[in-house]
Amino acid sequence: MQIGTTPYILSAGHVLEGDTVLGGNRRVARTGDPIIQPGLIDEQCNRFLAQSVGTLIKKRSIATSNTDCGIARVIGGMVQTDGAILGIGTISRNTAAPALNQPVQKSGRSTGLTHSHVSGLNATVSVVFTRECHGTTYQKTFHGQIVVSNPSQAFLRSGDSGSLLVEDVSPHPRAIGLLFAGNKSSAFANPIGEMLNFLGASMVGN
Amino acid sequence: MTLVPVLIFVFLLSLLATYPQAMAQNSSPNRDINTVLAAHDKELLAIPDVVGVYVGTIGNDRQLCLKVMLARANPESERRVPRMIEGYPVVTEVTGEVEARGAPDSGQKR
Repeated sequence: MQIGTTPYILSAGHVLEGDTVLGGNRRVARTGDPIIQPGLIDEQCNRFLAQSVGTLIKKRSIATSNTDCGIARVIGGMVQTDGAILGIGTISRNTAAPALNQPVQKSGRSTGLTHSHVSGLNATVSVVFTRECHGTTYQKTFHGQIVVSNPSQAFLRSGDSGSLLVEDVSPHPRAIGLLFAGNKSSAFANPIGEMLNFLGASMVGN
Repeated sequence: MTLVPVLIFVFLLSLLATYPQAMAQNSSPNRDINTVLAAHDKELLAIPDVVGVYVGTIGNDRQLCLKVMLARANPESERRVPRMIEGYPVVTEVTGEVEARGAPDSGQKR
């Protein structure tokens, strides 16, 4: 996505700035922190095996809005900035509102490219977050969320947060939401419009 | 002197007696289901173990309904969830807690 003409990486707030207490590592996420790819858990917790692809711009979305989103300013040349998603291709720069039973897809870290359908709308849902990796938990209630069918967590599992929920069409699907939570039967996404409004951003794509 | 507290008590008792019927009336819907959800989500989420409510569908004809998610099986909570609200069926599901999906378990990556 972009703010003005500056490209940013979009993910969930609890992914990019999830370390909210000093806790075990004596750090909290701050603007300017490096955002690395792959994540630490995929590189045996050795950050030098990963690449820095962006720098965190702290937004505190969970604390200050009805969304869970985070952004990082792109380090030039480290990511594609044309709106391409692995397994899906280049998305549309336009967004779409969700509809019941609408086919959807996402590409995520843990389950890869998966397909499902919108099973619910306008959810009021209480979500459990951790204050840092393996830290204490807290709950926040979100309103107006998108529900996606997730039987046996085949669509979304832990590690998939921050995946963009898009129409299951080709080419150039429109973004519908940002996936951030789930349980054994459903996945939950912030509606894309509310999230873009919070960030003052727009999508990139075709 | 004691009449006022008694009247207040009777009034509160009448409110308690009429509230479940108001919530669970079986008549045809008069309001959009999203409006109904917005009017009742707080009461539903106040029931122990309820972690979410949303607009969904049931049956092959995809009838609109309200779905209530429970963190765990809880017969008392299931009993407190109305079967109908303002003419819409209410379906209760035991789904578990809703958790942020950021922290991966190792070895899951595809």
